[in-house]
Amino acid sequence: MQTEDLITILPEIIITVIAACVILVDAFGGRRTHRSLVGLVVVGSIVAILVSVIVRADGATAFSGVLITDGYAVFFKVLFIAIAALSVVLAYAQAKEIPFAELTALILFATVGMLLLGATGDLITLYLGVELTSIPVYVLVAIKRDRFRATEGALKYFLLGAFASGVLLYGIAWLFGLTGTTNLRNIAHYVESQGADNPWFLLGLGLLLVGLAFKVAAVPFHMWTPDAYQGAPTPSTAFLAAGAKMGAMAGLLRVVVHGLEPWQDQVLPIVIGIAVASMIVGNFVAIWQRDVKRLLAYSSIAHTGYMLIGVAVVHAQSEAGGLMRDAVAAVMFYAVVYALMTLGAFAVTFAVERRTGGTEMENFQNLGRSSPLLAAAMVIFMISLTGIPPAAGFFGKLYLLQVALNAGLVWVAVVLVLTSTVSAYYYLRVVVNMYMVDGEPRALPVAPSTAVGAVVAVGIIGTLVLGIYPAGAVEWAQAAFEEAGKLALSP
Amino acid sequence: MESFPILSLVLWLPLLAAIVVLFLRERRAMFAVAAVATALSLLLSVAVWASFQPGAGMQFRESFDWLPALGIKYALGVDGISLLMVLLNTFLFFLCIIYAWASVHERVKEYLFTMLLLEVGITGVFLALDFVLFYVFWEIMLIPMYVLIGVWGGERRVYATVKFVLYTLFGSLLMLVAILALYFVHGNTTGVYTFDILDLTQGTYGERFQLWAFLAFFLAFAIKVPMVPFHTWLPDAHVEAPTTGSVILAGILLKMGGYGFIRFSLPLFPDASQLAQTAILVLSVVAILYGALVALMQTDLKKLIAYSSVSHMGFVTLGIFSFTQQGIDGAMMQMFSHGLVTGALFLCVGQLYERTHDRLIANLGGLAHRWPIFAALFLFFSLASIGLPGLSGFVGEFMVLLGAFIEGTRIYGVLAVFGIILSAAYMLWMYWRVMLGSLKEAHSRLEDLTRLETAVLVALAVIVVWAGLQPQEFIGLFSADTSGIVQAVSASEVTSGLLK
Repeated sequence: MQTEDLITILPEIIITVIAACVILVDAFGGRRTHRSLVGLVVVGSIVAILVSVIVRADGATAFSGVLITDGYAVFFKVLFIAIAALSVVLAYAQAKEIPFAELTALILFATVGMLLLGATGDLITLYLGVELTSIPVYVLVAIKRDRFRATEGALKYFLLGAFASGVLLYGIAWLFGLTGTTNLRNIAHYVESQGADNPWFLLGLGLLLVGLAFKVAAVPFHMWTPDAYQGAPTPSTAFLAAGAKMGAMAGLLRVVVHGLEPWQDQVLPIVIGIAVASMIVGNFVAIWQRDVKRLLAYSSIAHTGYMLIGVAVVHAQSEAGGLMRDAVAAVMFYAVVYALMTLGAFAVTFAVERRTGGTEMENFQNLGRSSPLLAAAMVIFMISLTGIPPAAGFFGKLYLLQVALNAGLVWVAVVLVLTSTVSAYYYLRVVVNMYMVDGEPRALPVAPSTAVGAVVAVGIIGTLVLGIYPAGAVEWAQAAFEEAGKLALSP
Repeated sequence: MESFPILSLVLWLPLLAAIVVLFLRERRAMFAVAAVATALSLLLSVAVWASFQPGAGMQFRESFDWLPALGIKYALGVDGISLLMVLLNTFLFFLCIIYAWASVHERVKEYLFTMLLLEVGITGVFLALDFVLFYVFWEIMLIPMYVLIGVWGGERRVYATVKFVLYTLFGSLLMLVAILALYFVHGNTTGVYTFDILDLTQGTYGERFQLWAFLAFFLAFAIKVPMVPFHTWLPDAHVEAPTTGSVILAGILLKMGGYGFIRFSLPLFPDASQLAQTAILVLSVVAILYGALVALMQTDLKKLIAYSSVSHMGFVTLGIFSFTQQGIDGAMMQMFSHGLVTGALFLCVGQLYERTHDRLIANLGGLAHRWPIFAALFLFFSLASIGLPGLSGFVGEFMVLLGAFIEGTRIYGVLAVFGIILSAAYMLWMYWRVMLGSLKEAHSRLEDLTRLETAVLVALAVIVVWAGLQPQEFIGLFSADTSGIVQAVSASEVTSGLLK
């Protein structure tokens, strides 16, 4: 182990140290320390973000190749740390009702896992990242342990999640047994030399994909999502959707880019199939939901489907060229957009929940009259999730559509837009409830707490800025890929 | 051309006003800001008109990189076709804001914000020279319209507005796929990957691709127009929309469909247009006759005018797909005229409804006795809608029929004439039942139009007369541009002979 190696994981170290500090401060500081904990997390996150940007060792690997520190990893590090900080801020609003310090520490530990996922160059690190993310998140779902729904959701999530982790590990073991290595690029080279159609290889590949598809909540491995999302306290749900899931997505994309090139003929149909199924099931089932958290859970399945299109076509052939770069950049851009709008939407839902005691559609009734700003924010998030300009969701979808067509998958693009139309129906139902129904608002106007307001504001600003001026983020994602791409193609 | 970005100003002034309105408290101040912004927008677009050179292609162009990574630009420009639509748009919005000053008292801030945003979206559709930019505006306008109907609408507003959004979104998203496909097909054949509308319309595309892409664009535009059988959202939306919402919907929103056919479908896909000609002509005639017949049966004033719109817009598609100079020019005039006349008719119905709280024809009658000014103006616009010579409606319909009366499509022209006869029937019958006869007891104390309301309607009437007497003033604006499109389509080797 070299000093340089340690420097490359400095952001991870910082987050871990903060998490440890949080536990210590809570243990010795009494009950009045919540505010300082939030301050600690926010400042620490900013430092960690700055450090990740500064220490980027372009295209280098650390710890003999198990970690890659390229622009791609940096991009996701910045995103994940920001998500974690926002989730903690959001949770602060209910600090008195939940074990806040434990929750904060768990979010931070899970974030370390996500950071590893973004940087993984090896199947062992992949598994480590997945588990480091998942285990704290199981607890996050169940953190209100006296609530029946929380326990139910957490149990389902844990049982299925543990099983999926097992499947993932089994797949890793197969691949290791067959190729003698866990390094992604070495696996790719070995498979290429041996021929990708070997059924044993395919078994390993399938197990690997199933495990990861579970973690990103793609159909048909999505069953846990609605219960876990609904049962978890809303800030945990926000972190689960915007954070943990995007972490798994970052890992999956990394695996596909670096390790699965020789399997392109198998990966494309499998992942496209999963993507299409996710888009259809997620969007159609969401129509019947009466609870906004459940609705957002199914919508998150659909959004996974959209992003998987980009994942699927990474190695596909294209006449126009630049497909790999665009596919990766499209998924990266969408991850940012999705995180912003999802965090925002859950923050508004959280505010409504705190005021009216529930997250059913009816609880949003006439929100437009009782708290115009919150309602207006929710409208923008819903528009963005639908993919209507000028919100960022539009460019996210546009880029993915562009990628799909670049790969010649017109039918997939058509599925995307048709299911988007379906999604307009249920997203707009929330808006209808806020503005267009008769009757009195559920609650008296109470300003949301500063914490919730801050998260909503970040979501709004991000969604609108990326919707009106997406060039900066897209170019960053593309540049980040250039570095990852070099690695993918180098021997 | 490096010059003063006048089009951007026309486009973004309403947005600026919308943002200012958010921070104002007083109703008067909000309306003043909105009125000034829309008036400035109107004046600037008139200024563009004044220095516009007919036949010189796209003018007042502006172009910046917006998302260079994907080849997307912020590019604006006008030619005669878009200029006329922009003028109609800024004019109607100005009048709507003025009209609303007197009539909208509930949630004023939100109302003005929505209206101004709507204006930005619609103006942008007509000005955009980049396909993605065009699409962005095309969709932006969806949300304000949705809110306008859903919040200020009538009883079944939620149903109507959700139906409106889903219909339009369905059509436009498929168009988005076609736009992207166009980008790649054009790029793969020429090596130039661009969303520039002018570049893309220069290209030639294979017949198979043309058919599919044409179909996707067709859905988007046909739903907007709306053509039968995609029209079912329109009566619902119209009936539930507030007065100004109906004015904008009928006045301009529907024109986006016709504009799309002229600007995109014909020049981009000449072969497919030729192939689809017969089918679309049939649908147009069906729309003309069916719309008129259904209008005849309506008991609700707004529904009647909504179905009359279906009928009138049938003339637009008939003219466009006759592929003749007169036909397309007529379609343009018909769109312009329909925007003014139907807008005015919806204003009239709105005024009537505000006074009587009733739109059912059976419950009205004899109102002419109480309201001489209203009666005169309502009659004027009813006649204009029928197509009385000397008024704008006549010019458009006459030219469309002229265009259709050529070898091969004559039968459609003949059938369409019946639409005009029917329109006389339903409009005059409606007028007779509502305005003449004996006055209902409940309506005996109602006041005639205020000065402001009269002024708004008279302003519209002046343009209607002007366009009726001096159509050349308007046709001259765009006939050079439309003739280019006619040539492009007639250059196509394909004919719809197969389908006949």
